[in-house]
Amino acid sequence: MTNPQDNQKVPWGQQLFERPLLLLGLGLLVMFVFYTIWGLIEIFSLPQATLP
Amino acid sequence: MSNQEMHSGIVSPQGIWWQPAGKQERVWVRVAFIWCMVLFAMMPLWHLKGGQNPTGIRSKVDPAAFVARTDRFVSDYKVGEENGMPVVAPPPGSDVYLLGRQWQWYPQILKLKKGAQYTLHLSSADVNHGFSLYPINVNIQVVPGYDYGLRVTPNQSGDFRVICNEFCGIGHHIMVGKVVVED
Amino acid sequence: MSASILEKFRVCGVTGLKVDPKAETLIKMNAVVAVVCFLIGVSAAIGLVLTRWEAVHALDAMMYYRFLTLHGLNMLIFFIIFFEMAVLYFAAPVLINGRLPAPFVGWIAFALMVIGAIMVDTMVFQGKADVLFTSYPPLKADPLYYLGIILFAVGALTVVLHFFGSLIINKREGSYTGGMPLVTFGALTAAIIAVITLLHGALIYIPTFLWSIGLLEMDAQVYRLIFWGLGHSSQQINVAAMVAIWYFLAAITVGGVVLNEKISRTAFVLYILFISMASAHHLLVDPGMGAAWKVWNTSYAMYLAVLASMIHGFTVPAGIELGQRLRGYVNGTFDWLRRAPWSDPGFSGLVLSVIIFGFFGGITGVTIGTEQINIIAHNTLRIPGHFHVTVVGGTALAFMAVTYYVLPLIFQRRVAFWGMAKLQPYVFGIGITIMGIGMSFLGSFGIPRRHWDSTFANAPFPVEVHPAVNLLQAVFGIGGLMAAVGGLMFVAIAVVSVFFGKRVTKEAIESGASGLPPGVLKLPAQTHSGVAVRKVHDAGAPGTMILVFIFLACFVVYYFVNWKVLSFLWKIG
Repeated sequence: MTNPQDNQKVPWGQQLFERPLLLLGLGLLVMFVFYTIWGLIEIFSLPQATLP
Repeated sequence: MSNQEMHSGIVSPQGIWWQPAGKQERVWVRVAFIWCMVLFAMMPLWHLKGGQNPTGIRSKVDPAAFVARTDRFVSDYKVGEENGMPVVAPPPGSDVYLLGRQWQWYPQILKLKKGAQYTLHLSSADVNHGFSLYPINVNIQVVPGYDYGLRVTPNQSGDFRVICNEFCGIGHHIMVGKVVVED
Repeated sequence: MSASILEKFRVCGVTGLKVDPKAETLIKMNAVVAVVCFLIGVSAAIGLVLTRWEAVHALDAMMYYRFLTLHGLNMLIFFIIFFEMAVLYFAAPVLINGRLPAPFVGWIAFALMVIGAIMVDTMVFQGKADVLFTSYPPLKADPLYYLGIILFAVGALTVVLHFFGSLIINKREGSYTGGMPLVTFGALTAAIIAVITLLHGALIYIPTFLWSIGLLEMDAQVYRLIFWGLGHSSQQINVAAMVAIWYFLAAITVGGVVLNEKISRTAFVLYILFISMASAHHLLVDPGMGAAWKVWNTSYAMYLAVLASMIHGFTVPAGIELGQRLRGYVNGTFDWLRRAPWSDPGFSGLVLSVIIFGFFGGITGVTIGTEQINIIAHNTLRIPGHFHVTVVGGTALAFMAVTYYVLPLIFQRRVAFWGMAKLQPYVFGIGITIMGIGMSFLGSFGIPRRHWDSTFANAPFPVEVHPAVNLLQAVFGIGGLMAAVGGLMFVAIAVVSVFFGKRVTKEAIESGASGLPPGVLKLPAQTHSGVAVRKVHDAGAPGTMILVFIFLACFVVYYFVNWKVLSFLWKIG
């Protein structure tokens, strides 16, 4: 097992990749912001048709 | 990869595995990244320079209002009938209304002029439908409650079909309309 | 870990892994139900193929759409997700030598999923849900149909959360040291995408259920947006699970190595972050969203998930190449490939899966998922042509290939009909590829998907169909039947092995008995060090370099040909 001193030398990327819940949070954030929420905003901000 | 040690994907890596990639991997990752940027750039570029974009004029619409507007469109530009179905020939530059409903396109027959621009409004009176101009292969989703207005310019004359390519119930496969483009 | 717990484990005679029997039972149960769902799906597929092949046109319209609903749900959702649940139980705790934290939770989840699947299938069989896989409102099914899907999704979400618990608890208890294995990391990626997927499922199916009993209004475009967060992302769970299985099979069949943990894991993280955004592929010609949303989402944020797939597309074959070179096949550029174990269905299935998914599935998918090119592809047969080579030729084939190792290693049974098993990946893979190509070209002629009669016999206007269409329908039909035969071969092998297969014994392994794949008879070395590594490292993977650049050339050509075809169309804007 790693002790705190070893931990200091572990690059940030490796530390990040060993944290499942943080990765889960990031995955949810990106999808919900770009796809879901932005998509809903697009739909709800459509104007009413003028039917020229 | 490390010069001293290699392991498979079912082995827990020990120590620091955040290491620089080998030369071949670096080459491939770079090439792949550049290709991905090309893929991305093509879409905005086509918006600027290309002739086929699904942007259109998009809005919400009450299905009943769209049906009424389509009826008015048909009576305004009706030029004849074919087997009891109205033949509608809107003037170049006009707004064209095409309604999808279970299980027909209305009006069933449109006459357009080659080289003229029309704003084609698509919507549905009931469920989702799919506008598919056959065999040219232009495919647009038709969603109830939404008016999808696309500026279209026919570039070839001929006798085309509009088939429904979104499942809309048991009569889906008989939902066929006609578009005639004249020189 | 205390000795009393350790005694409860079975130590695998081949891999040396400690296997928690409680996890093992859940793996078995989920895998068995997956195969049952697959059998329902493949039976429906035969009816569909024989209907779309207009020369046969077997089913009537109502049955066609009912079979299509059944096929979509049982293949795309039930078979795949039950199998993925088995993969998750294998990735943690089994691969990390740990214990299953809460077996009873696993059983409750399993029960929910089974009940949900039975409810859905019952509604479809009774004709109360002829709404296809997508069930777009205002088309309406029986409320029990939506409720069934909700139960299934809740069950699946529970398994996924249990997997997270398993990872974290076993790490804390010190079941393994260092990082989690790459295969487990791939499974983690699948699990995260599954959470994204299942949350969208809850977000859309709970309101739809309420709508079906008259309590709520439902907007058709909002449904399409959120539904595809489920419908497409669920197929991205497959991609991640499939790639994890690629790494697993490479390891166990030929001792494939991980070139670089950082690169492969970064590719998985790109999946976690961006791949679900490709749900937009279904909405590119929809009225609801604008160009910026479409371009950004359909490109998975500037194609970073495609970059990830291209990375795996290099590192998996390169890992195989290096593994083979470490086993002594060092001559020339392609000696490692020629002398690979082609009669091991675990290996041939792996290679076919990589090729079919990458060459056919990946290239077509990225191309038709381009905002503008989608105009000439949306809802034509090009779409199912694409996803049958990804989900079926890629994912399902990888699942089949791994089954040939799951049978001896987890079920402890020798693979039945071993001679047939050696052929099965080829029959299935080649069949599905022929079918996919047939469908894809039919779509290029504008033939719609999900359509009972593409001769349009009863339509108000006659529709002239290009003569090539009849030929392509025969290609589609023959390929589809071949794939169905391959699928039924798989079901027969799996069922007979599980229920009637000979037990795997030490003697059987030592005598090289039939029904045991080479990786089980003698597991290739999983770790290497010393001079051999240095040599192989310096030689690199020249064969794979050539293969990936051939791939890229095909990609570039196919992509720009499609832009060219698009440019001939009417002006649209």
